[in-house]
Amino acid sequence: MRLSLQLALRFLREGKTQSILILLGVTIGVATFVFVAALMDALQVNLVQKTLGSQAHIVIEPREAAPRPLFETANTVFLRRVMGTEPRRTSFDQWQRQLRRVEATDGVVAACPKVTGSVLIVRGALQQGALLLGGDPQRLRRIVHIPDNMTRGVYRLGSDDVLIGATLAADLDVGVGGPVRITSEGRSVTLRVAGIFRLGNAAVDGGWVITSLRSAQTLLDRVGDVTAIDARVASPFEADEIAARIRGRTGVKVQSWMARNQELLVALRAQASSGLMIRIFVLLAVAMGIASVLIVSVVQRSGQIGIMRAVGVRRQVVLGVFLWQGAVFGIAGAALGCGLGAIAVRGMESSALFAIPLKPELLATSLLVSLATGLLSAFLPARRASRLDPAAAIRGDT
Amino acid sequence: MTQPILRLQGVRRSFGAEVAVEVLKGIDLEIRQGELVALIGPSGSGKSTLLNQIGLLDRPSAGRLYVDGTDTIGLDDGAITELRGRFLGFVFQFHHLLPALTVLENIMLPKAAQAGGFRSEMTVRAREILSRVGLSECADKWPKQLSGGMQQRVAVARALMNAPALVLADEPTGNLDTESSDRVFELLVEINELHDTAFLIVTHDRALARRCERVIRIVDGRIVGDGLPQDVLGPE
Ligand SMILES: Nc1ncnc2c1ncn2[C@@H]1O[C@H](COP(=O)(O)OP(=O)(O)OP(=O)(O)O)[C@@H](O)[C@H]1O
Ligand SMILES: [Mg+2]
Repeated sequence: MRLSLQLALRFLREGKTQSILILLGVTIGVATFVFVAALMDALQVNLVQKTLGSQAHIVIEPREAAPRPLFETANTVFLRRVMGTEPRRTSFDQWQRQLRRVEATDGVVAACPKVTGSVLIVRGALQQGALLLGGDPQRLRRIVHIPDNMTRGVYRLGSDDVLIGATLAADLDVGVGGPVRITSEGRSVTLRVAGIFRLGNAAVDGGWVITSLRSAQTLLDRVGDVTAIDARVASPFEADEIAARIRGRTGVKVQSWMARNQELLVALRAQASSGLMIRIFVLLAVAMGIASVLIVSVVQRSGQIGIMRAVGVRRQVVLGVFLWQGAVFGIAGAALGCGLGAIAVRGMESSALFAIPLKPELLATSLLVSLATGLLSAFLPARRASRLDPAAAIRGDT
Repeated sequence: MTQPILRLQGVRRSFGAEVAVEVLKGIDLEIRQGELVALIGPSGSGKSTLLNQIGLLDRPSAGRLYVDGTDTIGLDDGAITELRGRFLGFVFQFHHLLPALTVLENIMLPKAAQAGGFRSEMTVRAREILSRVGLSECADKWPKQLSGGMQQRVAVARALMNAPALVLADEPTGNLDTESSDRVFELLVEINELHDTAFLIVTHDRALARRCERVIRIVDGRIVGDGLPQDVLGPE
């Protein structure tokens, strides 16, 4: 061990230029490894957060009403078809009880009954279609991050209040305190803008208005009823399993955000696997760099290796000399590469619009992976060195 | 007469798988403690091959080889390496020193190989030997800072580090000018007399061979002469 390390360090020092060049290569490789991993991770977290900023993790809806007999004659049953375009017709049976069940499910941290529907917003001569969301303010704030994203006014949902997306507010040319009329199928109510929010999501900022549950129920002809219950879970990526649990408890229609965003998940998965490919290829390049430098070194030093063996240096020590060189490249390259990667990540972060955290686990993994790469790529050259025939090596015809 | 420290019985060595060429054709040889032996013979006669057998750097195809009373034929690589490091010293014509190590470290290498690492207490003996070859002031220099003759003297010092019973030198002066060559040879003779270390020296230089106490001549893989210099080489 010790003699191997001592000789390895002296060999590295002697081939200084080569050592520095390959160390630079490993450093860049590890930095790329760290950078790509951190970026992919952050991108994924960011995309999921963006998606979930305006969506509940889990949505619980009443089962679509089964076709029920409209009237029957002696031998014919006339069925009334329940159209998907008429969701209002489906009322949410015993939603208060289901709400308690949802809240009691493991993994659920918040739940909010809501009423949603299409409305028309009118202000003077201007009018815009919008999605109306009615909910209890205390419950709603735990599902969608409206309170943290108020650009003007306050997060308040009294019977007279409406919150409105920033783009929509601009389109309607309305400010805080301004009155807007909201209409739906002949019913209409005039409310005052209490606050304006911006989530950074075009559909939300340009098309959402939020009122109290009661205002929405009245306007959408849903008094005493809700359209759905939104739930938030502790770990978003477990939403599927938790949704299944809720389904088991309530027997109603339960959908996780993952089920509703299949495309996003496929994209995330593709992104993750391309990130992995990049990292694997970088490691392969690093491994080949180390291996080729060490192979050349073994060939160049074969005479010296013969002398070492002649004066009593054991085969395993020779093996160790080259393994150590690989290990040194791996460890030193990882240390420098993590530093360089961190600098690159910080640089990227200042131009990207989201945080790129550098997890200690990632740095530890990089160190281990780099060390393993160094050792593995040194193995063949090392074995070759340890198997040199000393007589042939000294004669110089290996 | 003292016990032989080295004994060869019918040692043969062939090379090549398809057409085997026999380079050593049955060598019987004994070397005793403190002998100063020259090995001469035409180019290609098998001198280096023989030295490699004796030095345990290569294995005979047939025959017996006893080193320090031990039959070496059945030994594994670890035991061979240990025996070689303890009992034998080497001086080669080329590849004298490791350029990555200082002069002092080169000299300590055989000891470090035994001990599993360089240790500071080894420097005492290394410096002592270095001063014996007249290069005290070069301890911390790099080999490439020395002349060829000086490097070869350092190689001699390295061969002596573990106080071997037998030093094998393959044309140790073959690469040197006359003056350096004389100086290296003087050194070998001096050490031989002072420490009773046996030397087996391959040389093409008849004048040097004459200064040894015994000369072995090998031709075409066979020993054809073995005795006093004047008997083998003829009168001067
Ligand atoms: N590993 C080997 N494989 C094949 N042939 C070899 C090998 N080693 C030596 N030989 C052959 O054995 C013969 C003797 O070689 P050796 O090196 O022992 O001669 P030598 O007496 O030392 O010659 P020189 O004075 O030129 O050094 C030569 O013909 C050489 O080509
Ligand atoms: Mg030779």
